[in-house]
Amino acid sequence: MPIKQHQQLLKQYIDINRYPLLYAHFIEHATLNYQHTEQPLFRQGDMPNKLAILISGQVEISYIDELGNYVIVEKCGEGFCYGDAAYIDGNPLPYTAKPLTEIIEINLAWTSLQNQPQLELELYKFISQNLVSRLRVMYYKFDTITTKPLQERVIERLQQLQDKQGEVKLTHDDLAFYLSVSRHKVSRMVKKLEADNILKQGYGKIKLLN
Amino acid sequence: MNSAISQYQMLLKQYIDPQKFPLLFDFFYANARTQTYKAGTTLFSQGELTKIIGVIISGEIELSYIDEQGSYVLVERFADGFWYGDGTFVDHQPMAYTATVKSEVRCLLIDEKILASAQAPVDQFYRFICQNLMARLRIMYYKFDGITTLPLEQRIIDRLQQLQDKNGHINITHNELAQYLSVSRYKVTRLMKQLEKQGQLQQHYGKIQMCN
Repeated sequence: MPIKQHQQLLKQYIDINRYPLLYAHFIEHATLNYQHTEQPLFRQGDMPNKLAILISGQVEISYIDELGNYVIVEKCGEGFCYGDAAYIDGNPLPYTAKPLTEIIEINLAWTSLQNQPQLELELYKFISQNLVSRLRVMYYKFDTITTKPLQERVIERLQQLQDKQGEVKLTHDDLAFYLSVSRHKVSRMVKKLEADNILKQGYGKIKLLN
Repeated sequence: MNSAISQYQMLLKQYIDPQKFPLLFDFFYANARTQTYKAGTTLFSQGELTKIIGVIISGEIELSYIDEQGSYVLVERFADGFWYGDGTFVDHQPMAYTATVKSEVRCLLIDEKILASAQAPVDQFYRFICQNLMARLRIMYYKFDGITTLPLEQRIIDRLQQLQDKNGHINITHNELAQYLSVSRYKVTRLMKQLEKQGQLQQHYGKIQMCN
């Protein structure tokens, strides 16, 4: 059982005290997926057939809207979960997830959840918890996008994306996509923040100064 | 069967599918109560930890919140079928919004205490909550998409279509519409003029009539 080596990791994502049966079921039936390529973990419109939890690595979540625009939603790391929403409403995934690094995920096939009435309560509790937290993130995003000044949104986004050294590898174009504003506005704002000594620009990257 | 009882059952069926959630339906039927809220009062407030789960069965509310800067932001109007308190029930975090009653609201309520009792069909209840949350999440994805990528003209039309009554009437000012869409009143006024010229709607004092 390869999953057993990752028991400690799994405990971080499934609280053994709250979800003892679900945890045991994961240990028994889940498999590990290692991925080293840029192949999307899933594409917008895909119908998942498993519950998946990212335990290592980072993905970029994006989608193509009705008008064909490419919109980057965010970068997600460990703890990112998918296949739970579709398990509830049977609708396909609204986003594409592209790996930015090597990925390790824990996968639990939906089929292993069939005819397991003893699991139902924990499973739905677990999913409802995930959904509420995602809903609160969406409320927050919606709030920032509608009411916060661009300067704050730029800084906040860069802080989310920075690595340990405070560096963010991205172009003004990428940043504009993340914030859903024009590249022109982003360039002007980044220049202003550089003049204010909040950050320093390099080629294709930005360093946050503290 | 008593006709008042069967009416109540009919009503409840609209909000909880007895085929999918038979035990939950019966539990609500036995334990829920109705409550009326007058226009101008609040159903719940931002920051509150609600101790009930409810669904609106008639009337209309307006959702709003105060952001970190103290600005008042209008989110949406909702009518019957709007569930609340379920998110807080799951994560014990306070309500993100305030719901102000626009026109007298009747709700079907159940106390958290009762839902925590041993007789409550918790399995079905959590499955039901998941379904509600998912529907709300998909709406948020759609709104997010709209706000980030749709042209304002399209967003205005979408919004008005959501808000219209059966006769295509909407009681709303440009100011309110601007708040709903998080853009300036000036932009809204300019586009509304344009839409009126195109024959898509007619403007009156404090109200709009959609033309189809």
